[in-house]
Amino acid sequence: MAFFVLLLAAWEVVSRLGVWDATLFPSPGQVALTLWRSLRDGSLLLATGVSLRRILVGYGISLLVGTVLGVLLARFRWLEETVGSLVMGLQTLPSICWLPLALLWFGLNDRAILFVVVMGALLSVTVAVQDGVKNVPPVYLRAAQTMGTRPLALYTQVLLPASLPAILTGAKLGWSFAWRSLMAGELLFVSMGLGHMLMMGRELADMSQVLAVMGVIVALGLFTDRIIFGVLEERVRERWGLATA
Amino acid sequence: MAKLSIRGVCKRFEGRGADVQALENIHLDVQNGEFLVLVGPSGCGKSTLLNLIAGLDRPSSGELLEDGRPITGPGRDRSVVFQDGALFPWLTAQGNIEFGLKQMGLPGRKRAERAAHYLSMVHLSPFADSLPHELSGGMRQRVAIARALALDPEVLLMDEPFSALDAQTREDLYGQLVELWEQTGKTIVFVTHNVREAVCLANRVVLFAARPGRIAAEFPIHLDRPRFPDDVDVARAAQEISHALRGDRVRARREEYDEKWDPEESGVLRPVACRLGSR
Repeated sequence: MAFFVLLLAAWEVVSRLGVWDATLFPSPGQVALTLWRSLRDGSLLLATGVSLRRILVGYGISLLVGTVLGVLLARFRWLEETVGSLVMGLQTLPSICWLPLALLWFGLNDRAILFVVVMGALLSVTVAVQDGVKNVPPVYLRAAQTMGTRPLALYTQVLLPASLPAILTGAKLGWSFAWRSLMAGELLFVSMGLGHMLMMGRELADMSQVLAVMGVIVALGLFTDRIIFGVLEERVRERWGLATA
Repeated sequence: MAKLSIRGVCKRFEGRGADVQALENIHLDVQNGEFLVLVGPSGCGKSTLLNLIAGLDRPSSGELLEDGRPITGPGRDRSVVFQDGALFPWLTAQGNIEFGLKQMGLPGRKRAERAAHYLSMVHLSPFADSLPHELSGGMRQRVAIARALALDPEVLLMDEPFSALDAQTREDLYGQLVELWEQTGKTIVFVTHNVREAVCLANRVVLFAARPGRIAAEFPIHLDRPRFPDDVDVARAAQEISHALRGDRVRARREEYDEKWDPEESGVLRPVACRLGSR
């Protein structure tokens, strides 16, 4: 904490010394003021809302499809050898590389952005779920079978809960990929949202807006990572008896 | 008619180099209400046979019958208690016992009542809401036994269920298991490599030999219950079985070591239990 206060103070001092031009190196106070203004006129909230809606939809699709796909890949060898290798290959492609394709397919609209977000998160969720399901101790399945578990219940009541810790790790990874893809997409392609607001700052040569928006992006990232996923992971680890401390 | 009959069962596993003959021509009948213990060195196929009875695996040849009907797959008429319990870590003790009942389609209230009943049978009622990792090893195995019994199976199959527990806990569980067996009259097939454990529990001990897995000898045990591992009679019966086991161990080890290995020197031939006086 003290480190960050110190950092802020150093920033203030450097900006007051006037080494760099104030338009390129605004003081923390200026950035805070810009943040406050864009909060009051609603532009920041609007942009955040647009970005959040996009990521929730895109990420939701990735989570759903990725989980189903991951489970199937883990359970069927022929699928793993075919679709699985395709997934592995495509995973190496940075998701923003899908943007040109998406623009041609869907045009300049939200669906193109959603497509990029899904392609960013889907594959990493799939791979994590596949890994998690493959690592479920076989004895759980055998135990369930001797208790008369039907095939569908085997998936929903044994395989999925047993691999939940791994699925959560995949979900967290997927979220950060989705978030990065979304920002990249919004930067490149005019469309409201936080990424667009960041680009607007650049176009207006308004450094304090650039920094303010960057701050908001960091804050949102920290919030989901630490608060939402942090709490979920803690709970699951505790319940599954994985807690190390 | 025998509860379980195993007729000419063979099981081969295809290995990387050579195929492994896990079981060769096994003939065995298990009577209703019998407490049968399969004992033998590791790799003798006793757990393989248990898996075949459970229906988790298929024999390469031969057939397995339950009440005269062929066993085609796993079913709740044959519950299994696994070595490490195989409790689901995300469910409480109560939840684990309810799992199988839920698969049966029992409604929620009935399920809870029945689970609570079996939990109290293994004296774990205060721990109904505990998660498996919050319980000791012995408690987990008791939950696993309750989970298996709650399905009211015809046959209870137990695969080295106590091998990971300390000696005191194990001894306590022998008493509890025998008590449960006497109360419920279930047929039990129990696998272990611990000869004294076998003698403490069984009506009949079936000794397996390795490579290929086959039945080497059978020992009916007519000792009074309760039995304790330190009882002289238990020790004597165990010694008789150990003696029969040892001859086979020398033969089995020869295949695992090179020709310079000497069974005398290695201590395999030395008695395991100390010789008893001439009583």
